[in-house]
Amino acid sequence: MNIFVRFLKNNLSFTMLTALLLALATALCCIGFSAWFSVKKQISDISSGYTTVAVPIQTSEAWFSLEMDAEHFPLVNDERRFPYVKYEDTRYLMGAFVKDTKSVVTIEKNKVGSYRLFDMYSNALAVVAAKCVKIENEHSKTNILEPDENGIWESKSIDVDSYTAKFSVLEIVALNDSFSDYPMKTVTLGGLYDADCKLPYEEGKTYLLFGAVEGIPYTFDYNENLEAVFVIDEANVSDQFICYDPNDLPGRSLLFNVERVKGDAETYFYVNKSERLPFCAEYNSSVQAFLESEEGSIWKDTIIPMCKLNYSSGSVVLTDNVKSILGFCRGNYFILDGRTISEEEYNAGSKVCLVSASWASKNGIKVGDWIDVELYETKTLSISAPKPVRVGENDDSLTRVVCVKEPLKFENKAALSEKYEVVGIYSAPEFEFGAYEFDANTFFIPNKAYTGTKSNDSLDSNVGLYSVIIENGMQEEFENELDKLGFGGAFAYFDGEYGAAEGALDSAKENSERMFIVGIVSFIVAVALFLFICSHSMNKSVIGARLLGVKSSTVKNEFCKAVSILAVLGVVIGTCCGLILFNSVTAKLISNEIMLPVIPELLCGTVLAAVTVIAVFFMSKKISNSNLMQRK
Amino acid sequence: MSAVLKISLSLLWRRRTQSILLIALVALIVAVSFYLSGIAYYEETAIEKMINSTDINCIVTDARGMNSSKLSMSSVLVQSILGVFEDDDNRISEFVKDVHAMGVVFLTYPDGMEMHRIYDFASDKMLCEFEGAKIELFDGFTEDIFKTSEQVCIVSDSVEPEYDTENNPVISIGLERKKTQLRIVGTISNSESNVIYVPLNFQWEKDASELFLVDSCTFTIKDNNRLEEAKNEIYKLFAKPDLLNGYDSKPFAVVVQDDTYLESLDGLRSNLRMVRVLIPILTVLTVAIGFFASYLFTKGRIKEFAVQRCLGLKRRRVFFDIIGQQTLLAVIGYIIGLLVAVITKSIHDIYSIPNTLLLLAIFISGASCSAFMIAKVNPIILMKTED
Repeated sequence: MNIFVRFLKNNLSFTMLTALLLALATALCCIGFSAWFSVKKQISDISSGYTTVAVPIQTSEAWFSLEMDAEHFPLVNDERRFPYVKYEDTRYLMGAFVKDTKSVVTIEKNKVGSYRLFDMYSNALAVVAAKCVKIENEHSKTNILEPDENGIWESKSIDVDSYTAKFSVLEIVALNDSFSDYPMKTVTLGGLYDADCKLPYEEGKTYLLFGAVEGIPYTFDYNENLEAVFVIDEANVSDQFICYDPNDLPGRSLLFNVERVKGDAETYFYVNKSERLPFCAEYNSSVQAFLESEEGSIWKDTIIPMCKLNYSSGSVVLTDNVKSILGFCRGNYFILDGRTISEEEYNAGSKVCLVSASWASKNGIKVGDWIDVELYETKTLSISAPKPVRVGENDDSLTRVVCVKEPLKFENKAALSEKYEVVGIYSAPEFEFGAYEFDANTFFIPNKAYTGTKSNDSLDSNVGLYSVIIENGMQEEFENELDKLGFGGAFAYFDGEYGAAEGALDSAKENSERMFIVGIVSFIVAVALFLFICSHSMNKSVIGARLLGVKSSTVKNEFCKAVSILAVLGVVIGTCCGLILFNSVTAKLISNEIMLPVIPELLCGTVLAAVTVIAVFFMSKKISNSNLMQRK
Repeated sequence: MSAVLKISLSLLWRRRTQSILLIALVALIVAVSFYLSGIAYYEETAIEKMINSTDINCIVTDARGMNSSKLSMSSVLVQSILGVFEDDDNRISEFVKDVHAMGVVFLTYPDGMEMHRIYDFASDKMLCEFEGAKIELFDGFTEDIFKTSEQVCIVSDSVEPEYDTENNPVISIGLERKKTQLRIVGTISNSESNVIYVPLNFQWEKDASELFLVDSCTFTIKDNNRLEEAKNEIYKLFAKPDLLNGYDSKPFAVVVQDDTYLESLDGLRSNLRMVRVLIPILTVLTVAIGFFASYLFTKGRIKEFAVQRCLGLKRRRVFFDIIGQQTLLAVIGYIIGLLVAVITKSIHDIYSIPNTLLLLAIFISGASCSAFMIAKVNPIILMKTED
């Protein structure tokens, strides 16, 4: 039998005490490790509740110099990998049709004047049957910007032919319910010609007209609180229809395909080149008969359904993190009910969405409901809307930015109808001008939920679609990096009060590290003591065995085995003690917020056992090779 | 130096490896004890700092929480928040700070002008850096003037001012029958030219008390330690936003944006609780290691004490010799541990020193137990003991 094992057996108190010494040190180390491991995870969870965001400042010159296009701008591509950037949220704006719902219309919210731009290409689309009663031709000069032969843009004056056509309304064919309270008796159109530059109307004839309701004519009045309130301008309420918006100009047409064409006599015409969307069609008998005819099929099958499609439409913002949107950063967008989209849902591209409180309220949608969403590719334009001023007029010199998207068109359907779960209802200003704003018909969906082709052409005109998520607490460092490149001041930073919590989080992290260090140091000292005591106590046995002629390698092996068994026993007891102590303490006093780190703790115990055995091995080597002749 | 002390020292010197290890052990126990006692203190201080420095935003919305920008809310509510109308039932102003509020008035004169009542520059989104507005106040005026009810304003730098009798720049404004002249105290560039910014509590007639409408209002909680109390006060006057709310009793609601703060605070407090519970455990384990080490070391010298007993030393003498030697090592270790704690700035208060002295006593008691057991046994038996 191994003489050292026998020694341990014969000296049970020594064996127990040394094993206990090592067990205590192991328990200490395991608890320190568990605390460090748990706190690290806990702090990571807390930190993930904070998002530090850099939002572009649209007025910053530095921002414009950042080459804000999809190819060059991203901060994290291989060529321009910025430090401290976690990821960029390059958002995509798409159109969406939501089955069995109605969009929120500005007029319902008493928003008038240039607020009509929010509805222009969706809720305000309409088709009416009307009789042309009067046409007045117009000829004017206008200044346009055009590139010369060398490609340099220059201003030149051109002659433009135009007209004003008045119609009396015979039948409303398609009109959003929200506008139906305001009787439409006459409509005025103007300016747009057929593709061959011919005047599309003749007096006395009947036409189907397609366009957008301009908005309800209104004036301001003052109530008893001297608050300005809008009042319907009854005198003009019946005359409110236009074919195309002045913003629907060549190169940026959203509804039709408007082009400026030079006519025979050095004059220009604005013509509709769209093959699929005519803005008028003459009919002779009844509207119904015309719609049933071959000529009317485009109206019956495309235009009228398209109008109805757009009454249930909205914008979808595909995002990787709604918290990085300025409104949410500032706090004026917030989750009113339910929750925000989780990180797992963003990563998995889950079919979940956030809807606005106004839209949810209008459609009776609650958190947990599922909505049918059909996605459409839509061009988006950031246009300057004249600011409404007091007397029912817009002041063209004062403009505010509004982001408008083209109507949903069947040919632009990007994805089949899919069900999305409403996980949260957010509150936000319903219709607010500004480059960073989204209207009440906006849905936020994880970017990965739509896997089709995405285009972010609108990024250069809408700074609200871009932000950078940086590591918490690193905004200063990030700004310094940008500053070095001459882009300082391009971003504003929001950390959701992480700065205030940072000290406490750091302190918690440092404390867990301290506990771990204390555990390790104590363990090292305890192992040193253990080895010293063992070697000191068994020294006589070693010398005795060696003097009796036992080979040093045999002594080494036997010593190593016996002490290793003792060491492993101590470490196993210590690991179990640490596990039980830590978990019983944390479970009873701290509930389940601190995770049970069983596997890491077992790993820690294994490592400690291995370290101790290695130390024992070296110790046994040393003790077995001691010089027998020259001992003190 | 007495002969006994000399012998003790020479004994300790002969066992210097053992002595150094024991000194190191005591030093470690003492340093760890100081180190651990500081942990909770620092974390508690950091959490307290977080509580005091976190701004919890509160946003006034309509009762359903759907809108926060065009509220048309009576100025009475904002003045309650500001503490103008404080009474026993309404102590909301005690609990809030950094109030931002604004209201828009469409003036009849000059035609097309808007008057924005603001409590400070942060009250109006159009004055923030994103919109590129740059405000320049004239000498002698600060932003605080917007917290008064003075008849002053700031206007776009493109506005041509009039001048009063004292040659101060002024602008005349009117709303229906009301007319007054405002002193211009600053200008704004890169902003809308048809907006005049006046103090929130601006009155058309001096010393009059007029009601007006406020479009938006936000504020922060003054003392986060009294968050619940503050919320109770807020919800006396305002509703909690809910899509099912009516507009009858409380037409306006307040969203208290404290979710992240509370989650973090809960997490950090649970962490602190864990630290507080683990510290005594870690300390006890450290001390237990010291106790057993001390005991084992002393027990290892059993032959030596047996010889001393055979040479005629009394039990008590042997016992006190052992205690003396261990105490000497422990005191040296304690001093080293204390120095380490001072160097690493682990001592946060003087009250932790008695605790470490107690640990020292526990360590010495380990040796005492061993010494007591050795001293009371017959020396012949001691000599025969194998270990």
